[in-house]
Amino acid sequence: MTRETPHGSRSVLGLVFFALVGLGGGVVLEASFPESTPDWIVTGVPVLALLAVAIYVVTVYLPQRRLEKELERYRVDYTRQCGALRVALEQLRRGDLVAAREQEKHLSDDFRHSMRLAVRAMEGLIGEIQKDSIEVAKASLAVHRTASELASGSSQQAAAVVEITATMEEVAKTAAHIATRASRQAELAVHSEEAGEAGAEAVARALDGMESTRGKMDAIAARAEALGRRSREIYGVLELINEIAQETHILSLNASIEATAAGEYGERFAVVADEVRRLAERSRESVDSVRALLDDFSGSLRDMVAATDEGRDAASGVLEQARSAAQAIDALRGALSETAQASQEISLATSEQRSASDQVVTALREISSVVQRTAEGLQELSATADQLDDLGLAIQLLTQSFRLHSPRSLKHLFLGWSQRIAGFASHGEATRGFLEQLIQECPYVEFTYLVDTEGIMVAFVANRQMIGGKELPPGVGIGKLFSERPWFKGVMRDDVAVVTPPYQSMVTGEDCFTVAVGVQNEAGRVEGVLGVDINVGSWANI
Amino acid sequence: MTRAEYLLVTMGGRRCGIPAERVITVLRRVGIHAFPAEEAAFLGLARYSSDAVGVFDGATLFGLRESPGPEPAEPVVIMVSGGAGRTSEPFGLLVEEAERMVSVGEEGETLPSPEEMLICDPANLVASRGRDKP
Repeated sequence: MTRETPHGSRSVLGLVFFALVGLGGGVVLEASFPESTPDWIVTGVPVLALLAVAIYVVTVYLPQRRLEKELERYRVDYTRQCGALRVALEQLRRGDLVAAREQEKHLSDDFRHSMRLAVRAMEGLIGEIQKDSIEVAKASLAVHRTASELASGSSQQAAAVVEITATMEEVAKTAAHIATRASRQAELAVHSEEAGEAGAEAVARALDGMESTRGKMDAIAARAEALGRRSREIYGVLELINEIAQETHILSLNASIEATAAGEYGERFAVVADEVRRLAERSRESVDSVRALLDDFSGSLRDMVAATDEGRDAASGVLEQARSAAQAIDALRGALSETAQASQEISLATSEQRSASDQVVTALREISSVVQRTAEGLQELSATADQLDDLGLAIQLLTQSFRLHSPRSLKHLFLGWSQRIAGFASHGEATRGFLEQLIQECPYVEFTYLVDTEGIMVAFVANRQMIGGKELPPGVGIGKLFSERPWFKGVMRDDVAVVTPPYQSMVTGEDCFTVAVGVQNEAGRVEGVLGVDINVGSWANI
Repeated sequence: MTRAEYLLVTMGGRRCGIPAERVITVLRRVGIHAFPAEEAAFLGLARYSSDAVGVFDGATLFGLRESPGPEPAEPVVIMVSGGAGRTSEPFGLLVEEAERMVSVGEEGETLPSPEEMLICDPANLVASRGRDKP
């Protein structure tokens, strides 16, 4: 389609004007100066006018027409380029860099090149921001964990320092107690040393007494030995008396026998003989009594000698023991002296220990304060890490509003999945299989589901490894209506992918966000919405 | 009842009465020299009044035991007469103890029971064995 430009009309009018001026000029000259004007002038002016017209046509009109056609072509191409550029910019506005790149083929080389550079720059920038935001999130998570661990460790350290402080205070008290006891021990050791000296003197006196006793025991033993000898002499005398008594007895018997033989003449003699026999008998009985007494005496004497020997042995033993005791007391005195000195040193050392313990307690209190401040700082750091994590998430969500040629671009990723699902949207089991495969390949996904154009959920799969055995709320499940959800409305309104701001999951109670993409059929008509809920806690694994 | 005198001795642990008319004398510390003989009670020979007389273990001789026991602590030899007279055919009886003379009769003391005093008369002993062997 061509259009007559004003510039072309003006050219035609100029040509007509020149022709009319040439012809008019010839007519005016012929009428004004009929005799004086030569014929060649009257004839030449129109010729010149026609010549001028021809020159004009050749030099002005025809190039102008060519230029106008060229300009029209440029205008048409410009209009097309502007349309394509507008569409590309609209795709850019929507953040769909993939679609924007697809629009490059409709642009001129210059525009295509510029658009490609711009899209690439934006892709690079957004991809870099995405990657950096994830790195920031990971770093903030690591900082958060580290800060939490350090905070926990600091708390434990604070508790440990408090405990150590209490222990050191106890140690200080114990050291003070030990110092007191050591001082008391030193005094006792001094007293004991004095008592040891008195004991040594007493033992020395006891030794002298025991020596004297042993001498007396020896004297008693000698006296007993002498008594034993005298007893044996008495035994000899008794034996002699007994012998005499026996002889007397025999004599009296013989006298009685003779008196009996003498008959009545011997009766008086028999009486005497019987008296003699009785005396001999009494002598024997007396000897027996004396011997019994002497036996008792000898027995007692032997017992006494034995007792004396035992006493002497015991006295010797006691003497040896007393000497050993004296040596032990001497050693004890030395030990007590050393003990007194050691106790004084212990008292001094424990006093120094108490002072050192006090210093340690003071230092520990300072450490406790530092640890407390550190714990507080770590808590602040943890909070800052949380904020950083939130900021990373916000940046990530901001970047996820763009669709890039990147596996980290959720819109692009799940649009790909929506294209795979598109042919199976009406087959529940097949759709469910795709959704399960999606969760397997994207473990950071909490739930994924498919909603038809009426907003009714037709398929639903939960990541059981993430939610465990938690029950689904009544409002979630196949057959439930989601037409009022912003992500559904967004997709149905703009036919594009939507990333929602973070919100609290009704199932896990944790923060999550939803990526919703339209599922288009072969004709490009939206026949459903694929929704993917991503847990904020695991979004850094994208 | 006529009056009778006995020498009260101890033989083989028993108290025995030897009639006084048979007792010649009582001896202590008599040296007994062993002499071979078939008689179990024969202990040996002893010197008495320039004669050698046989000495017998009283208890064995009177049948109170079969053979002589150990020598007593205070051996006493009672010289008794085995013949008709008081001093005829003397021989010795080794006893453990010669206690005293006891008189039994009208004015004497009561004779101990047989369990308390066994009458051991050498004359009966000689009579039963023949006069050659007291």
